[in-house]
Amino acid sequence: MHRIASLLGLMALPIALALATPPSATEQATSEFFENSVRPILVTRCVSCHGATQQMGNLRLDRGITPAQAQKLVRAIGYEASVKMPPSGRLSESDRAALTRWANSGASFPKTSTSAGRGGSQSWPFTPLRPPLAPPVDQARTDIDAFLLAKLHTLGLTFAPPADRRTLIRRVSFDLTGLPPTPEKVESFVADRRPDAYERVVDELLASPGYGERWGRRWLDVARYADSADARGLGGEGDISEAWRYRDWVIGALNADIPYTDFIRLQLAGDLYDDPVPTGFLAIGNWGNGDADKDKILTDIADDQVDVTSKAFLGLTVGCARCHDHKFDPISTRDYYSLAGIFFSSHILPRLTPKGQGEVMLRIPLETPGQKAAQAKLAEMNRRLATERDAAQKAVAEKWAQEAKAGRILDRAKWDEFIGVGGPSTLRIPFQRLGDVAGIEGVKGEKEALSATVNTTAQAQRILTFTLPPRSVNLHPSPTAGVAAIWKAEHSGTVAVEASLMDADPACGDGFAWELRQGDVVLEKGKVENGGKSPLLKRSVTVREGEILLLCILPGGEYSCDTTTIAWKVGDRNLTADALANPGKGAFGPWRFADLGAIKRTPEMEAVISLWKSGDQTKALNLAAMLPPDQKEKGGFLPDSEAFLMPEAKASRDALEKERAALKAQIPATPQIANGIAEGGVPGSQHEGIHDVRVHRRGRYDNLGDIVPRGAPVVLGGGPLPITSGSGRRELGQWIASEKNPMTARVIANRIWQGHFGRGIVATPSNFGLLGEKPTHPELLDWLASRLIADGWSLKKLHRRIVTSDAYRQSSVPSKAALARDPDNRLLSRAPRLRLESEALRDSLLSVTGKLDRTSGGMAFRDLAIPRRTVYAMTIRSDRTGFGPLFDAADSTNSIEKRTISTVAPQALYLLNSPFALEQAQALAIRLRAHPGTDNDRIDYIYRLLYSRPPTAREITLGKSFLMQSGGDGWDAYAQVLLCANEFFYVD
Amino acid sequence: MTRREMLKNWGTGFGMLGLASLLSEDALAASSPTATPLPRAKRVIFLFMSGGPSHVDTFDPKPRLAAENGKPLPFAKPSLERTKTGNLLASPWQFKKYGQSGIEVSELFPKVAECIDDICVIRSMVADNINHNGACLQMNTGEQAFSRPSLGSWLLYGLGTMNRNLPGYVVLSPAQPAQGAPLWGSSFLPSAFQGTLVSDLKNPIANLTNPRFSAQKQREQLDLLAQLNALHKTERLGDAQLEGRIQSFELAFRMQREAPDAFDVERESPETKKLYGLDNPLTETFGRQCLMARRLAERGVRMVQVYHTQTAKRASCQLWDQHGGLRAELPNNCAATDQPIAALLKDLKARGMLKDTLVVWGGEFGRTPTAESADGREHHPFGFTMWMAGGGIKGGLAYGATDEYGWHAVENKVHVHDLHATILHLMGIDHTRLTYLYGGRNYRLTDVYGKVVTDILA
Repeated sequence: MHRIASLLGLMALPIALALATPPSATEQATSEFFENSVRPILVTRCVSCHGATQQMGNLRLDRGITPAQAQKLVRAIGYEASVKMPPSGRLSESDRAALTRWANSGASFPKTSTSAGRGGSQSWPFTPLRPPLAPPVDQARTDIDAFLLAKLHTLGLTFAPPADRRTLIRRVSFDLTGLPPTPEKVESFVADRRPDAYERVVDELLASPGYGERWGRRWLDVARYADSADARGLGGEGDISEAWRYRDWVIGALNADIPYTDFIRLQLAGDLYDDPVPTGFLAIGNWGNGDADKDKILTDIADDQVDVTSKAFLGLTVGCARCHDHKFDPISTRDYYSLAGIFFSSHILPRLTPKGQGEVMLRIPLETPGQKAAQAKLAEMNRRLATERDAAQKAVAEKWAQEAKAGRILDRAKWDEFIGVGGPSTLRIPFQRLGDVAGIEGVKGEKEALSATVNTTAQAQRILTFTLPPRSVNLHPSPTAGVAAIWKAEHSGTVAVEASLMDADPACGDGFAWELRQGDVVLEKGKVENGGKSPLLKRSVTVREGEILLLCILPGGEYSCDTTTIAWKVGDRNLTADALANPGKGAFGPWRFADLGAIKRTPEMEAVISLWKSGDQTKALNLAAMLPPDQKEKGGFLPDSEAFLMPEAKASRDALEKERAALKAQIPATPQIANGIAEGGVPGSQHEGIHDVRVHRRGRYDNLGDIVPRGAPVVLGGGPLPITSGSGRRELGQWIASEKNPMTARVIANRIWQGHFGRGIVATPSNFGLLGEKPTHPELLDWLASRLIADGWSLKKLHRRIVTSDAYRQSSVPSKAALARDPDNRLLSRAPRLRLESEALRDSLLSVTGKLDRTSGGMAFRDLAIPRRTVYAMTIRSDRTGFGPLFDAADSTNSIEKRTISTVAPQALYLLNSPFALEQAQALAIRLRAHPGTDNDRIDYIYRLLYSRPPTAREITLGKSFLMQSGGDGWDAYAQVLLCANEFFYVD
Repeated sequence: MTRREMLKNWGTGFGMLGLASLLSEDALAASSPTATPLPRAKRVIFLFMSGGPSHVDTFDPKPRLAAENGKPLPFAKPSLERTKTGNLLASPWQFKKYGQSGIEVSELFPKVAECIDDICVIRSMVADNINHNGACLQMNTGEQAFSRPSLGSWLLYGLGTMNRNLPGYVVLSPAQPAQGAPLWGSSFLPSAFQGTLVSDLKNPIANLTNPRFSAQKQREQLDLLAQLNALHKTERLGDAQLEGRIQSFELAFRMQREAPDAFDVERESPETKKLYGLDNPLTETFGRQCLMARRLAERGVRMVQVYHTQTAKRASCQLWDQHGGLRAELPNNCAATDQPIAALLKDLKARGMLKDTLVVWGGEFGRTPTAESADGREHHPFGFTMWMAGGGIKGGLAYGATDEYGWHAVENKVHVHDLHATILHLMGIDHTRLTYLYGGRNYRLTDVYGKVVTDILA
C-alpha cells in the first residue's frame, strides 16, 4: 500500500513509520548517479554535436566511451586544453565534477539506455502489447489470481482467506458506487446461497447510476475538472461555467459503458463527431487567464492541452519536452511540438481580448439539427419582420408628418419620452436564480455587470461577498456605468418621494454614489462609503404626466461596483412591493430598471432630436423614419410598439409574429452552451487557421526552431499523422485509440486497477516513464490491457474481471508472514483497507441518515447542505477551503493521478463540530428513535446501517452504558460517535 | 508507505530534507545532514501589499522624476506593456534620510522609517509578469501560469512545523487577493502543506467550537470513540493509519482549547494593542493582522503571510493598484499599514524574536515612474522595491538600484527566484536541494534559477 498515514504539516501526528533500509547495492547507486547527475548533462550540453545525428571529433556521448576519450573529455570540460567544451560556456562546478567522476570511473553507459533516454521503443511499456499467458498456478481460480499468486509463491506467501460476505458486499458497494449497501441488501446477499450470488451483486452495482458517479469522479481528477476557475467570478464568459455538461457527459459515458476508444476520441475531437460537450476536456484547463502577454497565453493553453492529453491517455509526461528533449524518457522537443501543433490549430477562445482584459471562453451553442433549421428560419423571419416594421414605421412617420403639418402632434407623450430623456434602456435579460439560490430573481443588462436583483425569499441571502436582505430590491452598477430604478408619472401633480439606500457588499468594492434625477435634472445626490447606508431621503417633487424620476446608483470609485439595496416610494407606489409582485421583470407598473450607460447617439439621431426640439416636428419625423433599423432600436426611436402601428400594418405584423412565436417554441429559451474546442487556431491571432508549428527553443515563443509536422510521439509508433484536413485532433484521437498504441490500454487498465486496490500496478499512473514507479506485475497489466481490447474496450467488463477475482475477494487481515514479507502489500497478500474519499464520506453520511437525494446531473450546487451526491457539488479552482479539500479532494489546478491521503486534526474537528456533521448525527438519531423495539434493537440497527454487521455483546454494553450516562439526548451523541468511528471511515 | 517509497517520491537523493517534516517536529532542533546553510531564521512573516505598491513613492527616491516631471521617458519602454503610459510623473511626496544608515524613505512611511536600521531595502527587484494574477503567482510560487507549491508549502515540506496544535502555515487576508488559493496552495505537494486561510479575523478557524454538546459531553463521546476504535483495531493489527486517526481526534480535542488562544489578539495588553494601532479605525484591521501574525509566530507557526486587502474604507483584492487615485489612495494604504508594520518590527525586537524571524515586505511588482492618466501609475515588474528585516538580514542596507528614473533595475538585480533562494537559505535550506519528484521531474521552488543574495546576509 502506498499511503501517507499522517502528515505533519497541518497539525499532524507523530507516527512510527516502518523504516526499511533502502537498497545500497553499488550497481544501483552507480545507475542512479548516472541517471540523475550524468545523463542530464550529456543530453542537454553534449549530444547535439556528439550524438546520433552528428559526431563531431568522432565522439559520441550517447554511449560509453574509451578511457582515452574519457581523459580528453575531462581536459576539455576543465577548459585546460585547447579544446574547450562545451563551446557555449563552461559547465558549472558540480556538473563538471559529475562528468569527471563518471569519466574516471569507466565512462560506461547503463545497459538499458539509448541516446534518447530509457529504453527507446525496445523496453516496456513502449513494447507492442502481446497478451501474455497466465502462469500455471494450481490454486488460481482466475488468470488475474495466477499472475498474483505466482509472485506471492516465490516469497512463500499466498492470498489471505476469503473475506466474509458482509465485508465483501460492503467493500464492493463502496468500490463500485461510492455508497454503503443497505442493511436489506446485506442480509439478502448473506442469505443468498446461489453459486453466482456475488456476481449478481456485482452486475447490479455496475448497472446502477452510482457507478458512473463514483468512477466518473476519478476520471475528473485526471481531467483537472473544476466548475469554476475563480471564486470571484459570477459565471461570466471568462469562466468555464458550462463545464458541468462535460462532467455529466463523463458520468453518462461510463454508465453507458461506451467503448473506451470512443471515450478518448470524443474528448479530443467530439466537435468533429457532432458532440462538442466532451471536448470540455480540452477547455477546462488551468493556464493563467488574464496575462497581458497574449503570445504566452496561446502557448500556455497548448501546453496545458499537451500535458493533460499525454498524461491522461498515454501515461507520459510529455510536458518536459516543451523546453528540451526529455532527459529520461524518449520524448523529444520535436515530439512535443508535433503534438502542440495540433492544439495550436484549434481554439478554446473565440478571439484574443485587448491587452489588460481577461480572455473569454469559446461558447459553443448546442443545437439539434431541427433546432438549427428553426434558428435559420427564425433569422429569416426576423429580417422580414424588421422590413415590415420599417415600412410600418415609415407609414406612421408619414402620418405623423401630415398631422404635424395640420398643427397636430400625435403621441406627444411618447415623443417626450424618447426625445426628452434620451431613454435609458430597460434591463432586459431575466434570471431566476443566483448562484445556487432559488428565489433570487431579476434582470440584467446586455453587457457589463448591470443588474437589478429581487430577493423574493424571507431570508437574507448571502452570495459571494454580498448579502441581499429578505424581500428586497438590489441594484448593481458596473465598474463603468450606473444603473437606475425609474418611476414614470401617470398624472401631473406633486408627489412625495421617500428613498433609502444601503451597500449590501461591505466586504468588497468601495461604496457607491447615488442621484435622484427628474429627467435630466439632478434633484439630490450623495455618496455612501463601503458598507454604509444613506439617511432616509424625503422630499416632494412636482411632475408632469409622462415625466420620469430616476433613482441612480453609480460606481463609487475606479474599477468598483457595489451591490446596493434600495427602498423607494413615490406617491402611493412602493417599488419593493411592486417588484416582489413582478420579480424577473425589467418593467412593471410605473417602474422599470434601466441602464444608465451612455447611449451612443449617431449624428443623425442628434439631428432628429434637435429638429424636434426646435419645433420642426415634420422634418424630425421624416428624418426619424429614414434612420436605419439598428439606430432606431438602439436610440430608442420609433419603437415597434403597438401604439405606433396603423391597423393594416399591425395585422400583417401580428401574422408574422405568430409564426415567429411558433418557431421560437422549438428553440430553447436560453441557448444551451458548451465550453469546448473548435477547429483552427484562435481567430485573429497569429495561430489562426491550421498549421504546423516551429520548435520553441527552450520553450520560448520568441526563439523559434524548425517546423515540425503535426503528429504523435515517435517512440510510440507515432510520427506525422495522416491529417487530410483540420487540426489533426481527429487523427490524434484515432491514433491514441488504436489497438496498436502500446500505452493506451495499459494506462487505463492500470488506472482501473488503482481504483480497486488503492495502488496501481504502476503506482504512478500518469507517468509510465523512467522516473515513474516500476510496475509490480507488468505481465498482469499487459494481460488486463489485452483483455480490455478483446472485450471491445468495455470498462465495465474489466471491472467485473477484477472484482470477481479471488485477489479482490480476500480478507484485509494479513497473516504474520504476509506482514513480514509483503509489508506494504505491493504483492496483494491481502485486500487493502481503503479510506473513504471525500465524496464517498459525505455521500455515506447522507445515505445512512436516509437523506441522500439521488437526483443526477445539472449545474453544480454550491450549498453543501443540499443533500445531493458530492460529485455534483461546486468545485472552484481558486478555493481550497471547505469540505472537499479538507478531506483531500483533487486539486483542480493539475491533472491528478492519485489523491494524497492526509489524516489531520481539522478533519476530526469537522466531524465533531461542523453543523453538517451534527445535523447528520441528529437525523440518524431520529431514525434510531423511530426504530421499533428496545434499545438493544436500536443499537443492532445502527450497526447494520453503518457497518453492515450486527454489534457484539461488548459493543451493545458500551452503547447502553453511554446512553444511560447521557440521559435524554444520548442518541444524538451516540450516533455521532459511531459516524466518527474508524469502522465508518475505512473499508476492509 | 516505506521510507524507500518516500525517498523516491519526495525528492530523489535529498528526500531526507523533505522527510524532516514527518520525522521531527522541528528540523532546526534535529541535526539535518543535508541542510547545508546554517539556519538564521526559524519563521517567516511575509507582509504582502496586494496590487503592487509604487516604489518611487515609498522606498526608492528619484529626484530626476521631479526634475523632468511631465517630460517623456528618455528611452524606449520594453515591449511588454499593459497599456501605454504617459510622461514621467514626479512623486508627490518628500523623502528624508532616517537612522544611522541614512536610508531615504518617503514621508508616507514615517514609522517604518524609524526601524530602517533593521531593514534591508532591496531596490532592484525584477519579476517577469505584468498582470496581477501571473505576478502574484510568481511571487508566491516562482511560476507565472501553472500550478506549483507556494513558498510556505515548500518551507513546511522542508522544515515541518514547530507546533503540532496549530496550522504550520497561516494566511491572513480579510478579502481574497488576486486569484486566491493557488497563492498559498501546496499544488502537487501533499495537501497538508497548504496554507490555512483565515479571512474572518474574528472567527479564524472553522469548527473549533461545538454548538450542541458541552466539553464534558464531548469528552464522554471521545472516550466511547476510543473504546470502539480500540475494539476495531484489535482485529486489524499493524495498520498505522487507524492509530493515526485515533490520535487526530484527541489532538482535535486539545486544539479546541489551544488554538483560540493563539488567534485571540484581545488577550494582549492595552499597550500592545495601542502599539499596533488597534485603537484607531484607520490602522485597526491591518494592526489586528500583524498582531495575530506575531502571536502565531510566537507559537511556532512556520510561515504567516499577511495580505493587506482591507482598510477601514474598502476591501479589495488589489488595494495597492493605483491606476488612478494615486494621491488619495496611496497615502491611505500607507497610513493603514505604517504603524502596524513598525509595531510588529519593534515588538518582535523587544521580545528577542526579530533575530530569528524573517520579515518580508512587498507586493507582486512596482508601478511605472510614468503616469497613467493624470493621477495613476501602471504595473511595473522591471524594477521595484521589497524589503526584508530580522532573521539573518543585514539591517540598514539599501541594496541594488534602479536607473535614475526608477524604470529598470540596473545594479545588483534581484529576481523573484533570487529572493526565494535567499529566503530558503536564511531558513537553512539549499534551494537547489529542496526537491519533490512529480510527474517525472524533480521540482524546485526556484525551478532551474535562483541565486542566494549573499550581500544582504548579516
